[in-house]
Amino acid sequence: MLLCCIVFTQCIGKADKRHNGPDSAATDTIRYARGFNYRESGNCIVITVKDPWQQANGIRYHYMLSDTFPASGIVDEFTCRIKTPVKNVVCLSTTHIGFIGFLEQTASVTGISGRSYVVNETLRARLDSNLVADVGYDENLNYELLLKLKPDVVFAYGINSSVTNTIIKLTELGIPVVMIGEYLEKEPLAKMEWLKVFAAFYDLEEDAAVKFDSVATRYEGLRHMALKAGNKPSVLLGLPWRGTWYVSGSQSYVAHLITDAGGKYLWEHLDYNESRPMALEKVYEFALSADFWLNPGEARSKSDVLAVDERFGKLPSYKNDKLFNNNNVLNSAGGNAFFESGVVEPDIILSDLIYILHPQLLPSHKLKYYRKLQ
Amino acid sequence: MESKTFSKQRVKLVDLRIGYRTAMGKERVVFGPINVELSKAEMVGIIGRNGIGKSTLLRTIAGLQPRLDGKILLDDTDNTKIPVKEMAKLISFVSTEAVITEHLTVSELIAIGRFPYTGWFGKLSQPDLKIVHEASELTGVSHLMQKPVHELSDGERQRVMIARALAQDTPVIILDEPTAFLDLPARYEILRILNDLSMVQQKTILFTTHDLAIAMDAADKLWIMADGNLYQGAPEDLLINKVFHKLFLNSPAEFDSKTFSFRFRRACKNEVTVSGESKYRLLTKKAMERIGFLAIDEGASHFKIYVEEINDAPAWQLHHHDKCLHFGSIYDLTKYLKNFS
Amino acid sequence: MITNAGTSLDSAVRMRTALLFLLLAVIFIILFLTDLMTGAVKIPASEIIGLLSGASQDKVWKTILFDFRLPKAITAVLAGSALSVSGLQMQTVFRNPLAGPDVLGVSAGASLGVALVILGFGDFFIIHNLSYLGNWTLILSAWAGAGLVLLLITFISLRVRDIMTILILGILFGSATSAFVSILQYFSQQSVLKAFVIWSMGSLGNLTYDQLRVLATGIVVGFLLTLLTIKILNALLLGENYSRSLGVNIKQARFLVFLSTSILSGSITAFCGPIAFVGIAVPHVARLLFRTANHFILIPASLLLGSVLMLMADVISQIPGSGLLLPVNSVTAILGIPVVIWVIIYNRRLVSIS
Repeated sequence: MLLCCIVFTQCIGKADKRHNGPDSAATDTIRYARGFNYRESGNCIVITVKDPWQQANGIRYHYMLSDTFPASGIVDEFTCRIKTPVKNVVCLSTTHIGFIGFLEQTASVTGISGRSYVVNETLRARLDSNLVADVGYDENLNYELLLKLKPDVVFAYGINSSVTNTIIKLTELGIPVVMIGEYLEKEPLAKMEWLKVFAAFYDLEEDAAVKFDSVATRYEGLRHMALKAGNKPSVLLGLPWRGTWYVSGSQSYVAHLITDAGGKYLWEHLDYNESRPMALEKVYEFALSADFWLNPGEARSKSDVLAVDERFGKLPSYKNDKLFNNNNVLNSAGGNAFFESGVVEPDIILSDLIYILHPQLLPSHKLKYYRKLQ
Repeated sequence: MESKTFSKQRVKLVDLRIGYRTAMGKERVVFGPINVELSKAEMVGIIGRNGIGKSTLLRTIAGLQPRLDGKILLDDTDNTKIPVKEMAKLISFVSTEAVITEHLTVSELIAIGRFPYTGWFGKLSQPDLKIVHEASELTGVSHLMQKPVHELSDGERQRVMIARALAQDTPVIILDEPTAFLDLPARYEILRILNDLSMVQQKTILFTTHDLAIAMDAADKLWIMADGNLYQGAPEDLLINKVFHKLFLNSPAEFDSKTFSFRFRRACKNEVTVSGESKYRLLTKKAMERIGFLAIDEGASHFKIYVEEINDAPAWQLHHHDKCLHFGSIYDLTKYLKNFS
Repeated sequence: MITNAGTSLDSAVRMRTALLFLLLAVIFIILFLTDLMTGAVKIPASEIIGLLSGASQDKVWKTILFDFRLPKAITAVLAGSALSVSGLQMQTVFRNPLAGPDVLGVSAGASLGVALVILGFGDFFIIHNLSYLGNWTLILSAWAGAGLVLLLITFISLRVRDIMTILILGILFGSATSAFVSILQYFSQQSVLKAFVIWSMGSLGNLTYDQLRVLATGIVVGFLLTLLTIKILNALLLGENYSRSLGVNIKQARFLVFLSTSILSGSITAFCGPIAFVGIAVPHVARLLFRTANHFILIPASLLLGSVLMLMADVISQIPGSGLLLPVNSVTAILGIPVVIWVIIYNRRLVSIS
């Protein structure tokens, strides 16, 4: 106990000293992400996650990582000490799997949330042979199972403040919880930059930095190319159902992608995140002006879209076969790779989109995450 | 208008057992076996203590309730072999159920009685309307035709219900307690109507009542349900055979064959002689018996009352125990005498 | 059936009834046109008239009028009339002023059918690459659910004598299915949950002409059955016992009425989702306006009034403007609840059924 305190103060002390110092080359390395701070102080990395859920406003979680710690432990409600590298983790979101897969540390995952969503082949095989457990989600989180797994860390995410219940329960059980707020990032590269957070847990910071930089460079290159395309086709997103515009996921993230791909995002003036009721005729009028229609819910074919409402068949984007959805890579249960590996391949997603909107710019590209609806 | 299949209008109950079948299939016989007959244009009253099964019997005869055993023959035809729609043209039923419907006028309610005769949409033809009108006249409600039913008095409403049954134009009309909840004049009205229906319209009327006095005065025949048996006969026959006593076995009342009325059984502790003006003698005797003084014509009694008429008004003189008192009303007289009973 | 030999009072009543019908018909036409002219997309009224008469040919507006607004208005008319008539039937048969078309649990059964598809078997559909949100899938599953409950109710009504018992059982069925739906909701993912919730708020605007044709057929069949029950319903005004003595075959009568109600309300729920309060409130307004218990008048009156109410609700639901739409269920509740309250308070003889 005493040893821990000493180490702790050592870490913080050094951090304070370094705070004003010129070492903060470390913070400079975070170029896009706004959801976390990253500070190196000696052999300790302090990651501060800011506002990890919607309307969090001022909540901060601090994670101190070092390989010199004797063990992982919980300091207080908002602070954890993690001994790196972690060997045994639980991921509550498939994006986390995406990050960890990119770092080639899939073997460290012992628990996931919602087995039907997992696309990663290795992980699916391990799930089938019961090497990896499904710990449930939200209210039905299987705490007993989590105790049994004794993970070094649980990567979690929160939609709203109700996630604090989960954090408190796990903290009581002595399991460190790390809030990952990547889904709140509005820019695709910012999203991917959370890779560095994960990397820190595996002592793979440099490897991650290199990988990230190359992706970022490619992404920026593609973006600049798309800027010069000349025209900006208008894009409609989402799938209205029974008079309600049914949008899943973060609107702004996709908006950024579309803008970066040289398109004009029709929803620009309507800035919201979830679902909104809208008169069907208004939807129709709106949709009439779209050149392209992307991400129509779960639709896998034109007939899926038509089945929801026959009148969509009259839309120009439908008639001209400009209907695309990001569910090209699915597992047998419908889990979508877009939300798993897609998070670390924004350059490929951007390529898909550029290919869709301006095919002449990438003539030899093969769609990966997006499919054309037939 | 009269059903050709029911010309003799004879209702015969053969070994009838009435009661209920519970959900488990068990039978509960309420009454039986019953062997009686109803003839054309007869008015029959059913008398019996509460709970003995009068209503059950009525409903079973009307076909509203299944019988447990035996037969109900309408003109020698088993009633279970008659389709429901035909039955509605043979027997109509008036129950004690209150009709709680707003916005229903008298004429509309009576017109419902034409249900078995109208077509798919229930449109009333000219003959139908005529029958409705006749029914309202026979029951004396023709001046109330446009009034909403719930605004009627109890007596008026009962007459309207009977009018409805009349409009159904059946040879047999069955009524359950038609005089319940009515004031005395209204009771007589109802029974007079029923009497007319049986005598003039030649309808067969079967009804239950608690009003023994009125029933005895109006019915051709009474069915008395008592001690597990059903006794039938003219009211006077039943009196002769002392059937009514069976109804009053454990009650404080008894039938007085002299006055043909029912009165309290009273233990008379005292005797009194009443003499004088004959006009008031009987009344005075009645009053005496009410307070427990047996009135004897002759004989020695401690109390002697002499009633006379002074200036067209009665006056009572009481002699007892060497006292002589005068009273101006029966009330004062009985009030005084009560001290001695 | 309940008409009288002519007296001057009677012809005054007839005149009044006729005038009321005329007035209602006029209001109906006005509201229908208003509904066509109301919408998120601003189309001037003169344009609407032009499009209807064929004078104007603006493509976009034509599509909006004929593909969106017209089917929606027709759906509103069908829904309002079907629910009101079935509500009236239920109130008479059960002698209960608060009965409505969902009293038999038919609407709950339809919801269960839809819940099973969206919430229960959503995975199955996803795995097998089928669209679980397709309209026809929902309609068929709703019909199946409603049909199942109808079978159950029919079975019960043939064995149980007392109408009150049937009422209680119907309400309990409704509760049981709702409980089951709650369980499904509890175990569902957020996305499908939202989809189901949206369905259960009711919507009039989703039907294409093909679907409308099928719905209309169902409603017409239901109404034809209703015609057969008018006379029986009038007899039932006096209660089941009197009806029996008048020659009504109670079992047959109940079956006919239940069948007609289930087809009417089940179809509407299947195509539009559950819509509340219309069935309970409108018959009361009809009774109060026409001051009669005669179903020969009340049924067409409820039909007209129901359509009027539904058209009104549809117009009101679009009032927020800028394309925002209020869910149909809420608007009918807002319109219907004051009526029900007024009926209860103003009409103190609550026990009456008409």
